Amino acid sequence: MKNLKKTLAMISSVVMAGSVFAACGGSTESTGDTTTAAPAADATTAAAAEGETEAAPAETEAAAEGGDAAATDKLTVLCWNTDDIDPMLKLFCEKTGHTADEFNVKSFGCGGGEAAENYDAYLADANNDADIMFVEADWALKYINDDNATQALSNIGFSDADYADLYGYTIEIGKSTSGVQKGLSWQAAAGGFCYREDLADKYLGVKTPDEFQALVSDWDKFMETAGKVKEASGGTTAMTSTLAGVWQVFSAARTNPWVADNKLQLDDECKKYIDLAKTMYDNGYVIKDLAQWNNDWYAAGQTDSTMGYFVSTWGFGDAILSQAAGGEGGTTYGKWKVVVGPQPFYWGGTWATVATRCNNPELAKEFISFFTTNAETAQAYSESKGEYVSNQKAMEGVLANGSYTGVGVLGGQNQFETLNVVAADINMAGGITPYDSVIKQAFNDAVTQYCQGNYADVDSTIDAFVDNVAASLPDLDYSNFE
Amino acid sequence: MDISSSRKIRSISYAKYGYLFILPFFVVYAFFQVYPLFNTFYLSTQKSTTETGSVVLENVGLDNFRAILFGEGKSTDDAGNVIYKETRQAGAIKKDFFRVMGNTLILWFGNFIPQIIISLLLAAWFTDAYLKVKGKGFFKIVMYMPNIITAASVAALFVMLFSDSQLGAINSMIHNAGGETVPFVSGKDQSRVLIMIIQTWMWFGNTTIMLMSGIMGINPSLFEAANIDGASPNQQFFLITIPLLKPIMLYTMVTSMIGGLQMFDIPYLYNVGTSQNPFTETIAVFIYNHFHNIKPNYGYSASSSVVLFVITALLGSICFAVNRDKDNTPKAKRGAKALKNKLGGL
Repeated sequence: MKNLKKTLAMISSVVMAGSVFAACGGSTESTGDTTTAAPAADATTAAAAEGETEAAPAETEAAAEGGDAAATDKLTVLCWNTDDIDPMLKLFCEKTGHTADEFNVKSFGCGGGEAAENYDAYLADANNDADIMFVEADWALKYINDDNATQALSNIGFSDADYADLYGYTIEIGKSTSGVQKGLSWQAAAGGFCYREDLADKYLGVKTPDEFQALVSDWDKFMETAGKVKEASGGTTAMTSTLAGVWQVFSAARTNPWVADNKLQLDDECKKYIDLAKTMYDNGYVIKDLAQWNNDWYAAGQTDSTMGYFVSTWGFGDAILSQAAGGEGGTTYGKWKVVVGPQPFYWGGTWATVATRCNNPELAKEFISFFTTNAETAQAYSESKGEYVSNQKAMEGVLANGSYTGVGVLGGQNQFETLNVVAADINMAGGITPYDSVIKQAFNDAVTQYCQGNYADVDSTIDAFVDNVAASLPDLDYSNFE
Repeated sequence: MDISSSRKIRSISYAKYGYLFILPFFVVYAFFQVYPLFNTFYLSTQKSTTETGSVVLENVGLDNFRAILFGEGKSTDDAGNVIYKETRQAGAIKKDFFRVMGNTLILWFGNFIPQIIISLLLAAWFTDAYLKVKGKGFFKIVMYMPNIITAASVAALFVMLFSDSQLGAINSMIHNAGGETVPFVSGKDQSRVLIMIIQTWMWFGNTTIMLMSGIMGINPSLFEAANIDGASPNQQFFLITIPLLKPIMLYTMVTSMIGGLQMFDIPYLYNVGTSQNPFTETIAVFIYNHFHNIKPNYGYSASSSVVLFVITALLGSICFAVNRDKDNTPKAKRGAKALKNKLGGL
């Protein structure tokens, strides 16, 4: 018995010690990720990153201080992951002769939604260097409206004439509420509906993207086709994976902002969406209770359980479609095709803003203009990354050049030809407000609950939505809903 | 004169080192516990706005408490006087606050009751002198294991197993067998029950070990005597073990209650998507979500924290008061004696 106890104590202590090392391994691994992922990171930034992951206050402080001393003349870029910055830096250094050593990538390794919190904590220390900050449309105004965080692009030498080639809506989102241009996006986040070519052939007898587009060209047809797919597949194939994708389309189609004159309002498109969402959920046109960004969401693309995904320009790679197809060589890799879908839409996108504390304006300008206003280099980036860029001239160049033939997951189709049609139709009539991320989430929460049967009808759904928002944003006026 | 002064000096020099040694604790405690506590009280009277990006605080007195507890917000009447009446915003936050309080209580009861029953049963078996369970040490470790795993991993594991859609591990089996998928993660009852199970599974080992030490602290001669006198195992359990275990049970209950009211990790992480499941959102999650928002409401977070603090302090002191009474009048021991007398008389 004594020996047994000793042995067990030994085993458990080894297990515990092992778990400690496992944790260490995990963190060094992630540290390794950040370092390899950020070619710019030298020893000091690596140390800073390590301090960050291990959350040892003293160490972080020391490392941050050390990092700053060395990073004062580096261009510090704040971002939430390195999906964009890595390929950007690679191309930038290749084409301009700058070296990665001149950059200090501060990636927080989190989702876009959590980035703001990390930025705030980072910016709270006035000693922390920041030159360029990446922001997402949903919360861009939080920083763009804050003169202590970001400064006008004209300060570092941009003029309005520079933006002539950019898609209008990408310029609009980069403006503060008072109309100062503070951010530019290198992406025109036009999206389309990606569908499984083999399933379309099997269930609908459709061979080409054009034929498929004819079947989904508006929402009525989309629903009708969804019904056919459901029936032909014996109920196993849903038209699209989640409602979240459908929502992006409706969200982009809004013609009124969420808040006007400090009053919350609900666009007609949103009301239409509530009805459509319920119908799709009840009829099984989406996979029941599947959550977006969940592992299962990606896994669905490798089964026959879904016909398609709504995908934005940044989503053709690993962010959505390639991963859903199982990666290169995956089960459905190359079996996808993209069409415009029921309505042209944009979804997300990242804007580059210049921090107020930027101490490196020349390089910051060179970097931002490289991917945006400079058509030639933006075209090079578009071709290398396979991303639909915000510069119209660059996109014309890519299509005319013909050297870019589309991402592998589409099996030979060039997504730019479709996205080009979409991008031309995007307008920002809906506008953005500083409250968008909160309100959109509140709306989607209410609709999800309605679909799952927790609210009786549309009115109580809207009521719940308004309550959701009112609890989070007490300073808005809710008189529109009384 | 001489003697007293030298004595004084000596005593002071010793005390000085004593205080120096305990100083680090008080410094750390003041910085990480006392300051945040008082800051929470301060923040509960503030309203945070973020119009310009950075957070600006504004003193609003007890408005936050009015909003979360009574659903009353500040507005002006026709004459321009400040009045408090029910507003949409305050009503919504009040509804939310009571919803999350309800969730917290449901989830706590749902894991405390099965947990205490299972733990008591196991503790009684493992300490029974006549049952002689083999491999006690092994079982103790195995039962304690779930508590060692970080809550984040446990939640991730369960989310993976119980994902809602037909592609989840358990649901794919149900789906392939021809059944309707069950929303284990987002459904109202399903998600609550799952969280209760997780919490019970994580904490029953801890409670078992605590109760075992309590039972082992009972004088074995009582059991022996009862046994010789012919008491059945049930009688022994209900008339000796349980009464003498009360102090430990109360301690377990207090710690579990405080832990339960602050339940955060599993309900927060047993969730998919970007928004919180409204049926498992606890008060701690509510506080966190209002604090860490793109548009934070420090006031709501802090005032809810204060309410939670008051409730915890109140319930805690009730438990301790009950506990102290038991210590002063050892009814339990008298109960055991009464049993002994009764059995002895037979």
